Amino acid sequence: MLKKLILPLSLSMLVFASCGSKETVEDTTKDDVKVEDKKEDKKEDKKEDKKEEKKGFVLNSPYGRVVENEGDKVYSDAVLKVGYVSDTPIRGMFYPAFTESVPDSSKDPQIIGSLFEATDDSKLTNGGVVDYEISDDLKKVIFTIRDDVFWHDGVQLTTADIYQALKVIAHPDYPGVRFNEPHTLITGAKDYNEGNADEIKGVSLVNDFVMEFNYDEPYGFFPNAGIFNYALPEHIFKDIPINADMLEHDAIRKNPLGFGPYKIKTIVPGEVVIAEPYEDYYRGAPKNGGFEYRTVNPDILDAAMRKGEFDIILGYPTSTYDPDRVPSNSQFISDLAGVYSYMAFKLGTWSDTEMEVMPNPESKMWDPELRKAMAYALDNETMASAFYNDLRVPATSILTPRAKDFFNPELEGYMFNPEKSMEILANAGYVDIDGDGFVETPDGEELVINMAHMSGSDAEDMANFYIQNLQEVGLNVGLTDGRLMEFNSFYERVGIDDPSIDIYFGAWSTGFNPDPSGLYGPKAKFNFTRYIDDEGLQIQKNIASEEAMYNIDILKGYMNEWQQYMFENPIAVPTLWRYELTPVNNRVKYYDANNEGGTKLSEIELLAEKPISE
Amino acid sequence: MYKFILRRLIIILPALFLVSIVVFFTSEALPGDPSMQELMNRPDATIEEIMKIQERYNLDKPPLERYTLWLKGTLKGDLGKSYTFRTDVANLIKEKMFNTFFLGMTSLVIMFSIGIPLGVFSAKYEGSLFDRTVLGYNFFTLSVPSFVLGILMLYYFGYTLGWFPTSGSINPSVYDSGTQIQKLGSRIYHVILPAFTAGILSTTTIIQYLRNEIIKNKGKDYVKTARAKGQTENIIYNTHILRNSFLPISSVLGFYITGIFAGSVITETIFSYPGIGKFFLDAINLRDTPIVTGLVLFMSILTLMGSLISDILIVSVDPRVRID
Repeated sequence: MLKKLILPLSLSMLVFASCGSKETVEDTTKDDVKVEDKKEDKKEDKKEDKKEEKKGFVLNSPYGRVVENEGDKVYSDAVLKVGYVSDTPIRGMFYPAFTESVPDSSKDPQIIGSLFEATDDSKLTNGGVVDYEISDDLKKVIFTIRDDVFWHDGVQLTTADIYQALKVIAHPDYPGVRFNEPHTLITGAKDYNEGNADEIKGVSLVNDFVMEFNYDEPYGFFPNAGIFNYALPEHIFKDIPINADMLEHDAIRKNPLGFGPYKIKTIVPGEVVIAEPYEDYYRGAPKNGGFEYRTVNPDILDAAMRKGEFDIILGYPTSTYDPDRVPSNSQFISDLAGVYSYMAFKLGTWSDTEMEVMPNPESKMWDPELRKAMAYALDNETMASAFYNDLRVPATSILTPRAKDFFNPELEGYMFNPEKSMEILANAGYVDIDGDGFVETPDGEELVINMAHMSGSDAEDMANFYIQNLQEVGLNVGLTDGRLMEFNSFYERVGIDDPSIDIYFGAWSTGFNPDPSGLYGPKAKFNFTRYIDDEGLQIQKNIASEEAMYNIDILKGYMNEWQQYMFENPIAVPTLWRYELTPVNNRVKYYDANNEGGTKLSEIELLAEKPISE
Repeated sequence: MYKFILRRLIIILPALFLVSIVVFFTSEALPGDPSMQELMNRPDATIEEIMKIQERYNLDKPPLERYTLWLKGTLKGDLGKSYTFRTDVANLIKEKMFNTFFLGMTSLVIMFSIGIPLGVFSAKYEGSLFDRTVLGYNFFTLSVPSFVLGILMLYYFGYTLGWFPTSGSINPSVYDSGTQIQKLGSRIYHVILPAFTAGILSTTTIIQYLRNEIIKNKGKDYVKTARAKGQTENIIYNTHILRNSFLPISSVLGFYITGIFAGSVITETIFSYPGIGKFFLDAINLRDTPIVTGLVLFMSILTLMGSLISDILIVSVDPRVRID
């Protein structure tokens, strides 16, 4: 019985959130549809959207992306209530330089502040705290800081604070994971990281407001990502020894200092964070009286919303969403997430000695025709509508349309076509010899495909639906061990190349970096397919090449090639993209759900003293 | 007596050692490890980074060596650092302990203040309508699982009626700037729902033990003697029967106290009450081995101490039991 409680809790873990990297975001709705309360309207909206989906790749959010409410008065002192649906408590870590968890970092920019402005597809732009300039040879970045930005304690933000952050992150004993490329390429950073130098040679502080980063090698900074974007208050951090114990320090846990629009008022450990407006924020004080941030138990979401406990709920699990029971005091808005679900094939093993993947032509799933046939057999459209209320859409590419610079809208993808699937199987020699209703291999051997699928709410039905799809084209597919796997054991068994897994269903989130080598490269441990071939490797090399670094059109070309390659040679077949739902209380005047360029908490105006209850 | 306590204390040490082995290796055997957990967040992580994290948590070392390292640390009072919270496990446990203790004590008070009167009166008026109602109540509390009652309480008293808060242990603004009395008030206000859920459900044992004992004692010779001496019913019940009937309860009391610290996983999870129980469940889900091992060890010590306390209680309450 306990299981019932645990399952919903572990739901949010099913999707990997790419927290270290900003996701690329696509502006999915050009027109800001005002969401009406009435169900009928929503259903009509949905139908229209569906029509549009069929036309091409302009995906419209089922419920629009923007909420607008009208009211007579804006309550500038009212406190915004933000809920986050999570199975993990608030960890009490605010500085992006130290965080790894999603719940905490999603409110970071509001408190700690961000150095750069981001466009709605996540490119860093000038006009924020820092203006940057990249030299033509891609080996130098110059920062110019505004001279009117102050930490919450009144000390001015200067270049020393940014340099301090680099010195912490690059330190040999730094207890975090942010010292990555391209920060490792900053001249002298490696020396410093190995403990051979006290300063980082490549950084020069011209004055309090201008600094230069020099890099050993040119770096693409594409799409303007990878630019160093951390700052830590130097006047505080210079006295904190850098080691694992620094994470216990009050300056990190209890009184984190930022330059964002809010400052921390109270942290009740593990329960709630309350922030109050920082009146001297360089862009002007927030339009509301602060925010209260707490995690919400997914089991009581509906009741909490109806009672008006929250203005905005982030991380809302779409599985608990019921279009017929939308609370009248709230509106749902949605935006496409940078996540794709996939069906992937086990095509080799990982070698611990070589530290790379070892494709195995003897694998059961080696034949690309078999894999194509399976891809055509999946009825993703029914899956999306029956199980997800159309909050998922059949995917055509391993990129999402949010990656608007690279996503290829021409790609047709594997759309449900059982006849074609059977035809491919027959042409490739997969026929039913013994008359059991399932095909045999071209060599006449029995073909039994073991499928790994994670447990979760509705997971059993979903897995069975796909199994049914595959059985209908004549493939004998069943669950590995006859049951679903819990999240951890799923990834452990997929990760150790358990021979009893032939195919597996998972989901990846897409980061800002278009380079696919982290998931499909020969040296990538997360390349669970364990497959690589010369063609794929060459495209991956091209994508990471210097030539692509300097020219986005060339990079686009290679990314197109990559998507085409992944289509023609399906090692991981994208199945569904997903919408993220955000319920917004009716006292919020305007809110745009776009994660990157959308409404910031500090911009939200409230039309009532308290969230409206039903 | 002292010899007995000393001997029991000495036995605890090897028991704990065995527990530590079991605990450490079973949580090691759970699928998934922290380097995976951490990297799940960033699929772009490189092998070097994975290795860095494994090194950070000694995961690159063989299990036996890891166990020795862990044991050494534990003996020094250092339970290691949590993978998810990145801070000392001992501190984290300390942080959560107060809430759990507070919840446990409150539910204990509720349990006794409901259980004892019901038990006593249902035995006193055995077979009456009242007794039968209590029996029905007992069947109800015995058969209703805590998560059902918890959700129902949360729904009706928290949401529908809106009488009580639905999550947390204290009102944040009171936490920030309230007086001590306000803080206590807010804590009590927040603990009532979960404490009632836990308290009501555990009244079953108290009522049943008490009722059975009283009924059993009612027919004993010493009661007859007391009656023959012309003592009033009240004196017979309050001084003679009750005192003897509390004996079996004191034998389980030690374990109840242990249970308080160990926390109530289900109640705390339902009410999002940040105590040890919820923390334990979160840690298992997150594969935060140092927290899991730390907590289980902590609970084992409590259980062993609890049984010791129970034994001491019995010995001191019941003059017939003697230990050499």
